[in-house]
Amino acid sequence: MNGVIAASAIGCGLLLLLAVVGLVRDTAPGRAFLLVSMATTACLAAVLLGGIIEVATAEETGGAGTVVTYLAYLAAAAVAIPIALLWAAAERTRSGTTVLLVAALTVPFLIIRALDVWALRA
Amino acid sequence: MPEQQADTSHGPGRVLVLAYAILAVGATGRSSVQLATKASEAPLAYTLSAVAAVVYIVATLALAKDWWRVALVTISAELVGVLVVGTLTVVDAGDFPDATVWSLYGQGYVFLPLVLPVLGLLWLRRTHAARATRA
Repeated sequence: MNGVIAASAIGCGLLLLLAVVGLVRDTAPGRAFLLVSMATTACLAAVLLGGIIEVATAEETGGAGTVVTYLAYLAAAAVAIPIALLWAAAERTRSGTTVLLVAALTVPFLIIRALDVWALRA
Repeated sequence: MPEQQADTSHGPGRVLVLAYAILAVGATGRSSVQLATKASEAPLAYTLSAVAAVVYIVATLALAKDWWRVALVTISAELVGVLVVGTLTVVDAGDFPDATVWSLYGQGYVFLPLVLPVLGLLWLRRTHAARATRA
């Protein structure tokens, strides 16, 4: 689980970097952005799967509220980048690139929130 | 000089829609779980979180669909809400034993609930000017 979380964090960092470069050069996201987005989304899907397994095998889950919140944060992180890509696709300007930058910034917050919720479940 | 945007969902509005959607999802998730699992612990706080969630959902839709007046009303209500609840939680936290989205001016959400309505209203003013020019 820690490995895919670290890979997701690196992916988000790369996406941030590519978005900032795109904003500075005023260029629309290209193939590199798409490839890193796909890899990062795959990692985040693995994080979600790991979370589901963790919940299913844990002795202490903290109740339904904790489980729903934890998995909802992980699910939101997994779909954030694809949704942002779709939303930005119709606007190939700096605003579209900023949409992707916001998504890449949001995902780490969602993962940190999820990990906090799960760590404090007892 | 670039053409002014008249549609609330284009240009910088596209970023605003995403930011509002993120808050809508966050506030909806938070309030649903709170109301479903521990509504009696802090009813005022959890109800306010639910109200905030509805405001964010409507604001997201209004900006995305270019419903200018609806966006103005909901974003204004959001600004009033975050200022009132934020001030109440700073002055006296007694009525809010658990945090709402708007507690401490949205500190739990990196102050986005305070910054977004200001940006939203500025954006609506700009699109209003563009509409007036176009008309």
